[in-house]
Amino acid sequence: MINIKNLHFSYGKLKVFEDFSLDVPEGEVCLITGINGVGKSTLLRLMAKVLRPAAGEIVYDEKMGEDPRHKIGFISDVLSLYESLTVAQSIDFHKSVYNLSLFDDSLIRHTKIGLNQKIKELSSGQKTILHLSLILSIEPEVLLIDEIIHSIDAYLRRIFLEQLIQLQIERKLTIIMVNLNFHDIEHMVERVILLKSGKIAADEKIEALKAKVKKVISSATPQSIPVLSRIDFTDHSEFFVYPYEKKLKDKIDGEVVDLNLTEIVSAFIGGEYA
Amino acid sequence: MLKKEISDSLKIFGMCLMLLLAVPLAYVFDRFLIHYGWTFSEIFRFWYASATIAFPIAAGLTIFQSEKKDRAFEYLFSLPLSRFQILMYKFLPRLVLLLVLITVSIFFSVYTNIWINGFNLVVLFLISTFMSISFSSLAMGFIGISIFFYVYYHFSRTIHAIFVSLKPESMDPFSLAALFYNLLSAVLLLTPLGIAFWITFKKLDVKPLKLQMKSYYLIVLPTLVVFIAFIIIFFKMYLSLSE
Repeated sequence: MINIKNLHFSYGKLKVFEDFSLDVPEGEVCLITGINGVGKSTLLRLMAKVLRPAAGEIVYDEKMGEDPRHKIGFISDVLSLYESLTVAQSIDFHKSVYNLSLFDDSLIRHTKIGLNQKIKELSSGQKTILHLSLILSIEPEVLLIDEIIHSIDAYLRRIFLEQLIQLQIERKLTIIMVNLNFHDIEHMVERVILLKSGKIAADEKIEALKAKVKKVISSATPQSIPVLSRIDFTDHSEFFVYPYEKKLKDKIDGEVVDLNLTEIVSAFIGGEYA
Repeated sequence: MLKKEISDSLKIFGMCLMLLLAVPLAYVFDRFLIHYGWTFSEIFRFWYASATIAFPIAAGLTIFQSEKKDRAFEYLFSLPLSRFQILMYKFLPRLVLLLVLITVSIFFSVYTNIWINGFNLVVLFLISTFMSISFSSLAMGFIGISIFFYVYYHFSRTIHAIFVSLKPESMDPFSLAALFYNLLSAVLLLTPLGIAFWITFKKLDVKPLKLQMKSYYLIVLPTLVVFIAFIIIFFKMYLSLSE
């Protein structure tokens, strides 16, 4: 569905990606993570075509048409909309650009957003829901969602995620998310991509990742074991091991614990800061 | 999108026409406070001319104002619109309103002593549009436009002076010859400015603007230098010959 080939991108002299390649197949729900400033949002913006690569290309499936933006729904971390328009004007604007005859505003009404309210008067949660309604109206094939979900309240977050899950089930959308609240999306994510210095440090299916990343609770430092990061307590330490293999079990003097997605990502990111 | 741009253009048009509200105020001010002796018609002419000059500057300079103010470039560029479409949606409503203003001014000029150079207003609009991309503040933009219009005006006068055998008395700014030299100057100045604008706008993305202006300044600044040098060299020659 999305084929990123030999991508190069920089902000002035600051190189973000050099010869970066990635394939995302149709219908996959992918999480991109990594430490701050590693280029997660930049990658999403490149995929949304609001940033232009210096070299390389991002190719979408032919069924997305000549201009794939017709079928890409993109919600960035800065919520970019014409804030001086009212909600109704914004919907009109969107309909005219995409030649839509109908617009389902049930999500907007459900969240008590007034059609005559100016967008600048809405909370960030309401803006996110409005933006989601706008991009869902185009029946996207690909959804690119930056870490905006942290700014919305629990109720709106639930509505937002319910919509995503429903769409994923109904239409097998390709969804690429950046650092969303992992608790909320853990059951949706199929693949995790960890970025490090503009490269892919880990790229695993969620089940494979859960099998490969383990926490070892031990009072002694394990020898000859690949440790991502560690947390020290007074009487013991927790070691996050990657890649974990069954044959390593003999070398470990301690308890081996399974991790959830949040803990796995924290372990990777902790390793970056170590 | 066209609806939004028509609405934005009409707002700017309305704001510029609001300058005419100063006419009765200035009249009252003159009659009861300063007693300068201005007639109502003189005051109207001054403020009408100000409004007609303000509109092309404001219309061109604010062509991306809503994107800058609302930080909506990201949203705009995520839409399936080509850069040419975006530009036309923004440019055409403003141009149409400018042409309406020029037409009304011509109509006025038949009945009153208001002389508006419609061609120069179009040039002013194009300079403002082509420079809109390079300024983050309207005040800086206004200064930049003033410099470019000043250069255009004097370049046109200089080549006119050269071609009419250095007879300043024959340099009627409303003559056909003046229009020709205005046209020539406009083409020579606006072509590199327009090319710089289009090259920059075509590649524009959501990176910080200052990282994307290199090719713009590489074209615009040498153009400005060449035009100023031309004016200085030939204006000196013009002065020495006319002594």
